[in-house]
Amino acid sequence: MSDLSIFDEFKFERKPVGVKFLLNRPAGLKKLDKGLAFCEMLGEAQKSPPFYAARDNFTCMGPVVLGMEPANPIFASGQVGPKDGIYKEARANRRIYNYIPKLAQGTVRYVAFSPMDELTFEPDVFIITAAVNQADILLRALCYSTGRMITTRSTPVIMCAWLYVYPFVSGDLNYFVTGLGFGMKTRGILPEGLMLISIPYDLLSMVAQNLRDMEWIPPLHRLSEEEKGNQLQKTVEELRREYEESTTD
Amino acid sequence: MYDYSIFKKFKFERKPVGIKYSLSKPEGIKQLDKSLGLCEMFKEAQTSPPFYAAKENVQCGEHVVGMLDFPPMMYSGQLGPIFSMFKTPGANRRIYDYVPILPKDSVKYIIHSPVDQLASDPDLLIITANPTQAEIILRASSYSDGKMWSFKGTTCLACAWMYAHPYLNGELNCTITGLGFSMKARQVLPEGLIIITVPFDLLPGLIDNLNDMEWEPYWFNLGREGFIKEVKKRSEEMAKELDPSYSYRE
Repeated sequence: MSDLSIFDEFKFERKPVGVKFLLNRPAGLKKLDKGLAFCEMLGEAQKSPPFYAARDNFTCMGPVVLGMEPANPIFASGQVGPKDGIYKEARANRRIYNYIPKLAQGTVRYVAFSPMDELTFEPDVFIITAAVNQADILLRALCYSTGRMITTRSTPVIMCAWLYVYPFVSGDLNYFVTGLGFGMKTRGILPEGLMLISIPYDLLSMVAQNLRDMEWIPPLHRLSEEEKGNQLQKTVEELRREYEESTTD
Repeated sequence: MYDYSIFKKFKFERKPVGIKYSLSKPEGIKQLDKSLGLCEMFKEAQTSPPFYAAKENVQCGEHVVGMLDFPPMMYSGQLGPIFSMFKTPGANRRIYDYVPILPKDSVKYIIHSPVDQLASDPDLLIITANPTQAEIILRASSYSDGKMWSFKGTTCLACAWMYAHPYLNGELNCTITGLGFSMKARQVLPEGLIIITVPFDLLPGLIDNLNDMEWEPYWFNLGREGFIKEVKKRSEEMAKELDPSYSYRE
């Protein structure tokens, strides 16, 4: 199992959750005992023992993005958007079905969820609910050793696709702010203004390692205004001197 | 000039700010009387009359608007590890290959104006919103075209993603205050606000959509159970009307 203990140091108010997509029923996990939307399962997993969800546990669009069933033609043709006030016309709404990330049909029958402190499986996606100052550290850790661009993708609806599926299929970290996303907002899943960060399995070790290596609160984020100016000037002067000395030689 | 009055309806705590790039000295507008980072200028403009900034007013970010070349010690990634932004110079230098910058010497003056004092259509409109307001604006951004929300940024040079990327690529961009190394260090704004930059070519469509659409759909006030019940009811009604085989399945 990967060592994720570094994430404990954040003291997150809501636990990070590991998610795994499975073809076969997971052993040793209890089945969720209710019907929930895919986006709600994150909140459920933050405060419950590990569980798995099967097709009959999913309400809403989860089965479509998981490849458990095709989209209902009413939704896929965009009929719902204008009626709900989300899109102006059906043709705007239907466009999203061409690019919303989905898992291949029939490849997922079960989805396992576990809070970080009870993980018994290597998660496919690791989802963190963070305050902005925690998110700043996490996103900095993503780029710390790689210089990656920080990108985020989503749509006003079907946020579950961007939260769970997109990071898994693309290998890109994704994030968004709670309060956006139609279904999540109407269901009141989390208070507004939190950052949901989904890390795919192939970036998780690197992010964890960078968190171990880097300074979480750099000097420029903690010094007084005067000290900041001095520090910046000192650094730039030192580098300039090095550069010029090297040029002269 | 377009009608920007729809933005008044939001009652933003901080005014949206229009930005315009110019090669010729703006007339009828005062020059900024201090030196600020580019990321601080839109904040300044939220509470001041319109102003323009020339090179001497831009204390940081002048490279992003093409007023200066990046110095070698930045460009080579030396600063990153020292500031704890990046692990190695190699990681830091990589960003200079993709950070958007305006062509050298293509901008001499940057005009900033709060939205209620705009004298002409801006190149960019920078909106500082809370999540509720941002939800409406972002929904409006895809209301008529179904576009994906796709936002870009880096640990540092947040100004490039606010001032250059939307202008160069015609894409709306969005960031959260509290991210962006220097903006955080300079404490430009309190954490957790959403900064949305709209380029000129998307503004008319956005304004039209804000005028057309329902800002707070009744769905938002039904509560979880009410929402689920109503989705089922409405979907069944639609299935009956279109084809019973489309019946909603839970």
